[in-house]
Amino acid sequence: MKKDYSIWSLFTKGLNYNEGWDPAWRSAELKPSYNVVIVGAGGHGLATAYYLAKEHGVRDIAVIEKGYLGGGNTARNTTIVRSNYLWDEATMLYEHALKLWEHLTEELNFNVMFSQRGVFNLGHTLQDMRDIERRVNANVLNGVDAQVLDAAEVKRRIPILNTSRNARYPVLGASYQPRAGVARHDAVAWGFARAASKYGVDIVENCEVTGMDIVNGRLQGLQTSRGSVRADRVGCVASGHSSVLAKMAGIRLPIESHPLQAFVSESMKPVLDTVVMSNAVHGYASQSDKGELVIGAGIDHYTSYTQRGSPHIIEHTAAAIIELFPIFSRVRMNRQWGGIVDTTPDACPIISKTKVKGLYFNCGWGTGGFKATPGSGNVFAHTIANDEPHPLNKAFSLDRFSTGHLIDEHGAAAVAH
Amino acid sequence: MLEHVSRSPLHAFGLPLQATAINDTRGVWANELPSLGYVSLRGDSKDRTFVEKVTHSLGVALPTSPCTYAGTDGAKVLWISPDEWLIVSQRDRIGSLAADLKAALQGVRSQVADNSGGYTQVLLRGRNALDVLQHTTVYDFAALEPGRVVGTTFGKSSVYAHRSGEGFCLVMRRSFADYIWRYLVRAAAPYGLGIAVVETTGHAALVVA
Amino acid sequence: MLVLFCPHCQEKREEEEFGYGGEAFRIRPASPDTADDDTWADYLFMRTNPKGWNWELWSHATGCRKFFVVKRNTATNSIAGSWTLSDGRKVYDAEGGSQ
Ligand SMILES: Cc1cc2nc3c(=O)[nH]c(=O)nc-3n(C[C@H](O)[C@H](O)[C@H](O)COP(=O)(O)OP(=O)(O)OC[C@H]3O[C@@H](n4cnc5c(N)ncnc54)[C@H](O)[C@@H]3O)c2cc1C
Ligand SMILES: [Zn+2]
Repeated sequence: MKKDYSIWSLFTKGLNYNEGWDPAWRSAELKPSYNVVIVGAGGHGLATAYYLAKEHGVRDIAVIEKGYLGGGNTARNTTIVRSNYLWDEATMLYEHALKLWEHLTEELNFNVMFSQRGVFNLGHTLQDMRDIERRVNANVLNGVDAQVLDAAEVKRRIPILNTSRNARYPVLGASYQPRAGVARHDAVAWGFARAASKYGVDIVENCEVTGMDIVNGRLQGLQTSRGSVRADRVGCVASGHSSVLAKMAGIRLPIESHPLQAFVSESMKPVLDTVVMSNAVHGYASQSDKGELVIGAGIDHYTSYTQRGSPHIIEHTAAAIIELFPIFSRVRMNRQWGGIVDTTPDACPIISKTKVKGLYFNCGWGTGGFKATPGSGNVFAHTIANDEPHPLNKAFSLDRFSTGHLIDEHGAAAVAH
Repeated sequence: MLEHVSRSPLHAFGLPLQATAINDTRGVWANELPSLGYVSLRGDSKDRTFVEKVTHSLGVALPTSPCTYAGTDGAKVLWISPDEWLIVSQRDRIGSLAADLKAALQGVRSQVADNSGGYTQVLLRGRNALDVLQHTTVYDFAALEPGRVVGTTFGKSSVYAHRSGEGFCLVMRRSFADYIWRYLVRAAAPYGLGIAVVETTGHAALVVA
Repeated sequence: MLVLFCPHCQEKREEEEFGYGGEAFRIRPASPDTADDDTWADYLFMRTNPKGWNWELWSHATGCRKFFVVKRNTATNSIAGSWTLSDGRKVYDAEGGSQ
């Protein structure tokens, strides 16, 4: 069994030129049957497996992944973590996740580099400011740290932000969540993989689910590119590919898969020590520990599974960022990429049982699910283990689209997150 | 008594006072063709009665091929879509033009609306006029043939554009005129922008190039 | 960057002239008043969201402002064609609907 990472292990392995580290997780072959199979080894799927093993005593678990571990949206996101959503249900869910983030590094014995550097959501119009005040008030009532800042205070805290009255969209103020921040995307997937692996979870990469065996409305098992596997329960956590999996079970989801793009600049000395988002000009930025500006766009409007979007979206976002930070106008951009995000009509996720017994879905996180990774895995594990939703994800069941109890978070989720 | 004052959408820029005759010192020359009349015409281009009546009333064949326009000295008819046209004429003639059309189309499924307050247009000339359009729009204007009109994206807004002499004519909605003009001014800055003298009767806009 | 052919303007134009209108030929329940909640939800919210060929609506937003249909492969972005709504419907039906 792998030993915990520690100062001592760093030191001794260092003396050996860092040779002799054990692989962080065990790469497994697919067995013929499991108690629970999780489809999708992104952060959410791996977290689900981890909490199933840790909190619900399930031992016989596989996580199967069509590509490589953490290579989906987990690897492609811009890592903003916050919980200042509008409605009670969403706020509670994201706040649950944020509380887990605050101890995740110790919990997993893996440095996820969670940095609570605060997140600003800028307001550019009177209506923006009214929305911000409404949201901050709701946050405070829910025990979430949130503040309304005026333009002068925003300028004091982010000196390079253009708060001139002559800006095309002048900054009138912002909402600010001090406990929000960013984390290291890969580390979250690797940390959960390692911790789950320690509990004996089989992680099977390069294994694509291609079909589902369903008899009399009950799931029996899965067809995969590495043969079939029987399973009592299956949790699908496949982000942009959720509709593809749902189709195998004869289910339609309220999901559209869209490209979402981001890009990073060359590395620079520290200039931005927080996260700035603006729904109005459509862009957001932070600076990574490596010094790159990490910049994100809004979704491409058409649906696509290509993991790439159109260049005019990048152009528009770059213009927005320069609008906010004229000082960045000469910074060179290094690379750009896209993910496939699973958007829902109310910008809220689906964590739910389905009409097929033994089949569960956790999807619809769209542009903003990274921040929920530990919380999402935690409540989804509960849902699978008990065949009943956790109180925190009861409102996020699929049936809300029939009952009409949508949780509209477009305002809080906008740009992308 | 209220006096009727008509102000062009780009009035605030004071363009007429800055106008000079086009010369070689600037790469781009532009100005508003203010105070023209605009009529929106809706109807079915496959309806022969409709097409005949319009053609008869306007004295010019209604253009039914996509992205084309037709004109006489008095009026220009821009194809907008298979069931929509924009007719441009002198402001003082537009009332009677619309009334004539309405009368002619009595009983024919159609709509004639005087939209003169809703549009204006800008004339773009000079050796770098094309460069400016390439900075500001997504259409390949180099390939645009005379006699064709296209609706396309301009910045975050839109224009209907066609060639006019050695330049281009951009028809835009009143509410976006300010934005589009400022955008043009910025895009033209590297080439030098001059404000061109245009006939304030707007006659230049009506000459079919 | 997608380049789409507008069947009304009869020209290929850049994506920035268009607006995306989602899946085409979705069938509205004949009598919304009596449709049950699941039927209505299926119409209103559920999507096929196929990975592969997709019949979709686009509007030529800054051009002729008309809607039309495109058959596009969402896995590759290749485009089989564009049609007016009525012409597209015929091709779609001849193919046997959404499959
Ligand atoms: C550019 C971009 C920026 C973003 N920025 C943020 C942000 O700042 N903050 C934030 O909170 N969120 C952000 N997000 C959203 C966030 O990335 C996602 O919501 C989150 O990472 C989803 O995690 P996941 O584990 O569910 O999905 P993924 O990491 O995508 O994992 C799903 C996995 O399922 C696998 N899979 C799919 N189909 C099959 C199959 N048939 N068989 C086997 N495996 C399959 C995939 O290969 C994939 O690895 C961003 C997303 C993008 C694209
Ligand atoms: Zn068109």
